[in-house]
Amino acid sequence: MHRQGFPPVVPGSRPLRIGIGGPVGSGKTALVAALCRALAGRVSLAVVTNDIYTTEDADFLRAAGVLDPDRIAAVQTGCCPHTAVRDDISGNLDAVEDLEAAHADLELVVIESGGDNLTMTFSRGLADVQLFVIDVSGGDKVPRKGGPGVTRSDLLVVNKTDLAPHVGADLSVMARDAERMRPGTPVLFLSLRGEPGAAPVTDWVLAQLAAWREGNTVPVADAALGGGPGGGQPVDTPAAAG
Amino acid sequence: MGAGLLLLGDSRLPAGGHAHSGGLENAVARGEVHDLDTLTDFLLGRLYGTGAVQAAFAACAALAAGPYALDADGPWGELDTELDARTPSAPARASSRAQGRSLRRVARAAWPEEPWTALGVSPHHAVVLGAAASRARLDARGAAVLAATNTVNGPASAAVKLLSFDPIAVTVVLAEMAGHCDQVADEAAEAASTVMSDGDWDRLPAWSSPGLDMCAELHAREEVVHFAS
Repeated sequence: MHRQGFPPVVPGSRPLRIGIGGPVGSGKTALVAALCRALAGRVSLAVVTNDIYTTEDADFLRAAGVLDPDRIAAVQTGCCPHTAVRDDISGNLDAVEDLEAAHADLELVVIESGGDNLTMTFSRGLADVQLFVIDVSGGDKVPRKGGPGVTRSDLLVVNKTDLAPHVGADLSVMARDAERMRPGTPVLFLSLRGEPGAAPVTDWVLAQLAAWREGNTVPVADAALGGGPGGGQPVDTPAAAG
Repeated sequence: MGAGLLLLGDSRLPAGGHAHSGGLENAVARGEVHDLDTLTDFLLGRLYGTGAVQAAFAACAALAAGPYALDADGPWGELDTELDARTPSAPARASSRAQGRSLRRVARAAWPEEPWTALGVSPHHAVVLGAAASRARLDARGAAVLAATNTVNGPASAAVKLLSFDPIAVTVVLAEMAGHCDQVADEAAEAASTVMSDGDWDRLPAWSSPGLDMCAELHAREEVVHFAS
């Protein structure tokens, strides 16, 4: 017997669901806002935010004017942000299904987890594809610490590269460790301060969406990611592998 | 009583329970629950109030579903209406239906041959719990035990998170609560048996829990909360 998820996922049959996870303060919400801005007018999307910063995050997105309030849903996680996106995804599934029912044109749902630690991953029952956001101010040792968030996410985003000189973080070390911890899967270096549009992440998201629309399973490797460091911030590291 | 009881009673069942405190978060926020004694009072009140009602409805649903199949022609509409009438707080009704929706998703996946559509998309939690219990080969009393313990286990777990209680000390409280849960389940199963044979819905327990209704109403008005209820 070949077991499938419930319900079985048919690529392209419903909006693509992208999970964005990562530690507290790494820039998840700022990245979501940047994606909303970059995709506005091109992709019909909605956002589910998780956890105690829900109201603040939702307000942040509303204040940014990047998304209609009725396209933002909030989920409470009962003090367990990782449970809500991994072990018991009920609340998030309800929110996603309600958004899909309310917006027939929906193409993309972004699910932002509450801030957690390096072990956070999204269940494949909730997110078709997931990215994990860390930042350089946590120290350049974070990638080699590993953890499922770092090793198993489909895209690793290293944010706030502009702070690297100030916190003594060596981006080349982070790139080397990330490549070792997650060989063959992409890593993007980003500075939302320098490049509010988060162009490389947007390109990656659009590549996943294009594949999904054509009925292909995701994630897909994106050749466009091989072009150099992300975020418009020149750094002396190979920014992407995959 | 078989493994089905443990399956459906497992706090790790992915049916949304972890995000509900059953009014405890608000009781904590207002200082009403602040130590193990006040937690015990809260849980006992919850068990003998809404817990007794939930247990009776779960038992009725188990009887209505039948031992081997979910009867699509069962009194699902009546159970839904009667439980609505016993849940005066709108946020409490919404919480019950949200958890029912999540549990129904799990039950449909586990027993896909059953006509779960008969219960509606967002049935009350106790009703779908009883139907699922039946499908897991539990009798009406088993369903009542599940519902009764569910009304105290969730808030107890939330108390560990919100008040940093020693989890072992909270387990001691729950151990003391087990006998009470059994008593509530016994009475619920008996009431359900009577009502399901004569159809006199008025005889189902209708204990009110005004304190919990207050918690539910105030919780829904809070701007930032950790739990959905």
